[in-house]
Amino acid sequence: MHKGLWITVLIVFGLVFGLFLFSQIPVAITQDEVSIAVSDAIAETNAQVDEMEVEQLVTQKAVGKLEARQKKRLKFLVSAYFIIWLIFSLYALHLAKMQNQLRKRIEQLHDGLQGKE
Amino acid sequence: MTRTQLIGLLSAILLFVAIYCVFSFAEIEMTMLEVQKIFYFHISSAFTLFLAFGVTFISSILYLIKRRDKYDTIALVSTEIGIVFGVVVFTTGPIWARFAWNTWWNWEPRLTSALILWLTYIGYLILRSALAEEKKRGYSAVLGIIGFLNVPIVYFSVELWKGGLHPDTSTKMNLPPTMQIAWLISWLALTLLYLFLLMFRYRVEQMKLELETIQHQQMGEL
Amino acid sequence: MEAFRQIGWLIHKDLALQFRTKDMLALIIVFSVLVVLIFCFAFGPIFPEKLEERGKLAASVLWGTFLFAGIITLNRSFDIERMNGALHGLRLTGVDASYLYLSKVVSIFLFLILLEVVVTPIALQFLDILTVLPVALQEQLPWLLLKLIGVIAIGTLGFCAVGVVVSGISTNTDGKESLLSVVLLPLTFPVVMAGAKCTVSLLTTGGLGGNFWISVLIVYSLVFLASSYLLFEFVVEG
Repeated sequence: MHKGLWITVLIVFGLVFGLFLFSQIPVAITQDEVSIAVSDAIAETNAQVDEMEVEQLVTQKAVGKLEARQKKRLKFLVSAYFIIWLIFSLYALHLAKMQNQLRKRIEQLHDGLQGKE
Repeated sequence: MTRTQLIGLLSAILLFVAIYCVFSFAEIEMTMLEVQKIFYFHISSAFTLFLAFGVTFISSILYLIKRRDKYDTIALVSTEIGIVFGVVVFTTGPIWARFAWNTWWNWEPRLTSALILWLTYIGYLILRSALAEEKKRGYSAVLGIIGFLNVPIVYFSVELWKGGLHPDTSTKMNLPPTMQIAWLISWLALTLLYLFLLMFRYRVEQMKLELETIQHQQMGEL
Repeated sequence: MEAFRQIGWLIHKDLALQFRTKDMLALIIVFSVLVVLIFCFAFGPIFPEKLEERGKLAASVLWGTFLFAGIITLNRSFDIERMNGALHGLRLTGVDASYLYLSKVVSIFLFLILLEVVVTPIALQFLDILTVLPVALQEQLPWLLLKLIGVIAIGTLGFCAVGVVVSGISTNTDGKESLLSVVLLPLTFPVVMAGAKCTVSLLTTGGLGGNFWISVLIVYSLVFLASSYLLFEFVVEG
């Protein structure tokens, strides 16, 4: 197959993949998760002051924590899929390169043979 | 359009569909959350790895019976692709394990037996490349058969070794339907990718042989 | 009957070759003892107090040593056959390939067993396993040793069954006999695993601890004996 076609397919694959990864997965933080994290955080701090304000601050902090955690998860996911994609494309490119080289060699030799005749 | 190209195109399309299903169709698993999405391609690659070495096994047997070079080439090519799929399995596996169990390697029976199988077939390729041209076909067929016979024994013993006397076979997750569909599609996509790579690599191997015969001819003329 | 006579002669020939120059056996035994010594230096001089841990240590030392010794023996044995085309000559006499296989397995098996009978007590003594064995086991020590040798023998049989085929192939590479280990070691994982487990349970309890591991050993040996018996023909003919 043509080398250019290969590279196009691979790039499109990468683009589509990236698109899904960064747009289609919304931040999967539910209300439950937030409230659990908030109550955890409140229990941790043991504070008894102005509850409204504290809760607001703590909510911010908790959401930040959750987002950081999700970032970490996404890092794992992205690296895994990146590696999968990399391995297959490297192998396919290697094959395409090998095929091109072989084809050139064979053509050269054929030409050589015909030239002699 | 040749058959190889058709299958290549089909597998590319299916890969896109699989990616779509994995990332936006399948629901998010509750304990591992997004990281669980590694599973679809990890397990499918592992299945394909066993498939590839199974093809090596069968075509090795066929080669010894019928003595046609075609079967030997298929065995060689399938082994090589199986090893590539193995690389995928053994890089995504640790990433999963690192997140799930906080360690890079877990002696899960299926993973371990796949590793041993993988190492066996790497040995097969190394030994094959060191053998003389006229002998390597028959010899590597013997190795291909022996290597695969080892699989059930290895699997059984690793399971015993890991879990004591009562191997736990009920670890298979009960997947919700959306996950099942996503998994099936990615499995199909990788199997098609395997088929495509197989045909492609087969063609390359044939070109190599062609080149060799032409070179021999030229040598003869000189 | 003819078959047995032929196999008998072939075994006789192999063993005569192995033992004609005594240095082969001596070399392998010295090598094995050295390997055991290296293990002892790495783990000693004070070995784990617990019986179970010391049993595990002994099992790993024993099986690691036997694997190395087995690989050397296999390489050496097929070297002799390939030299001056001896194997080819044998084939010309009309001997069946399967007889060749069986005789090779038996002769290498006997050689390795002899080695193991010598090395096992030495290794156990170096690891000082006697001092931690329970009294009940100490009283029937010969019986225990016999059982241990039995387990090791089954494992060795499985090892030889595969090893003969693989080394028959790997001797055909020019000067790359070391490739044998790359192919053979992954193939013999079940033997090492099951053999080591059996050894541990023999050394700690005196029994086999269920039939599982011993049956893995036996099944492995049988499967590979049968399949290699069928496949060896292709190895000899190429």
